[in-house]
Amino acid sequence: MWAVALRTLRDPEEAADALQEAFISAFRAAASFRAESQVTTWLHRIVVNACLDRVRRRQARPTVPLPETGPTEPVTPGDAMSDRETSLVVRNALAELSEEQRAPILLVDVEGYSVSETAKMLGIAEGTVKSRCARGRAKLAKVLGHLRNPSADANVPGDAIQPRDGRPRRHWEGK
Amino acid sequence: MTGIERGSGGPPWSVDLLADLQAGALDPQEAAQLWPRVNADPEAMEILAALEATQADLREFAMAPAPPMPAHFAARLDAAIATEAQSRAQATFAPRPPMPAPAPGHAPVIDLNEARRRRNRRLGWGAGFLAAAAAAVGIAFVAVPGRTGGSPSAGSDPNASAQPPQGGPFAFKQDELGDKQLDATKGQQDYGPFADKAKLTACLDANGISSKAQVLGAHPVTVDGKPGTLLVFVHGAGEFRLVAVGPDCGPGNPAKLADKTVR
Repeated sequence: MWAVALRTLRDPEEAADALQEAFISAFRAAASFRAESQVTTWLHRIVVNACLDRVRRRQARPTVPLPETGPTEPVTPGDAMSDRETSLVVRNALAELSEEQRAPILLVDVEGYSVSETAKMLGIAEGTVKSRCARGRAKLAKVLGHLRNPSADANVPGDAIQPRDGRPRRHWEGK
Repeated sequence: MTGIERGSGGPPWSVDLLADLQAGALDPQEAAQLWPRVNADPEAMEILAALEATQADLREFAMAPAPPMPAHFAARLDAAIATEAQSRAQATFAPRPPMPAPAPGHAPVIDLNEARRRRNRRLGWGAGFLAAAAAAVGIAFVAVPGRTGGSPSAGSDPNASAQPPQGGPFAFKQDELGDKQLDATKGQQDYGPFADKAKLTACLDANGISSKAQVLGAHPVTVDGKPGTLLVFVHGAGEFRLVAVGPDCGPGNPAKLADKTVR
């Protein structure tokens, strides 16, 4: 759940606050839980909603830039380098998206919610979810280096995520 | 043409158009006309493959190991949940209005299942939720309703409570049974071998305890070094009966390890 909060909010302090809100809220609402879904599914939804609330509040406030590189990742024993690289590259790519594109992408493509569920969670039409996901994926495809189109690459600020060997990142190695 | 604006359905392909097509964002009629042309065009297929690779990366991102929650955040979360759990536990155990007097000739019957359901809603759920939350966050905390003390148990075996504990309020001598065990057991839902209702009923029957008796808590214990399960019952106004029984408690075998009534 920490991972969910962190990738949704990107700021550890905010992620911790959202997680705390979510857990207290879940604890208080525990009696209303119905065994129709798994506890983790139910809890996941509460955490995501708490994070989305914070995203909305953040959007309503004057812009506060987040760290470009996202939260620092401490080195964990046994944590493969490729995994850390993957997370870092995708996290940085997601940071390139506008908030309105990032939220549906996170819900649909990362957290695995359906378009319909995502539409309800974000309070927008399903068609809007689809088109925002489409725009977001198109941009990510460039930032992540999956698109070769030189003209499309030209104006993409993706230098920070270029592979160390300088080769175009069409597909990540070892995957 | 930069290749990213929405363009006509043909080469040079618009990435946005193909992304809309892939996402199902286009009008069905438009999509139906576009798909055959896209399928027949290697360049369009390459763009679609790039979009799919992007989605695969996002799925992989979801599965990638997360950095651990920083200790100070975990501690803060622990404290918040513990406070919440404590306030709920206190609210649950606050004195309640007395039960209405039973109709003449009728014993006050409290259905065990209903009592359990209510209790689960009030307490067991809290404990269960806390356990789930701890597992979900990947942190440890020990605060559960009605239970204080203990030490953080990061990485402890989630099934450890099935075994009689070796210390703390759950390991005691027969004559030590009292408030400490009452406080530690109230609200616990670990019936151990008596999770099976039939077995619990048979054990209660062997000990002359009505199966309708309201069980306030259950937890594995060690009494004089012998493993057992401590059961806490309501025993009149403001009184609790604590009965510890061995795992072989059953029909004709009370296997009683300790029995005490406390206020």
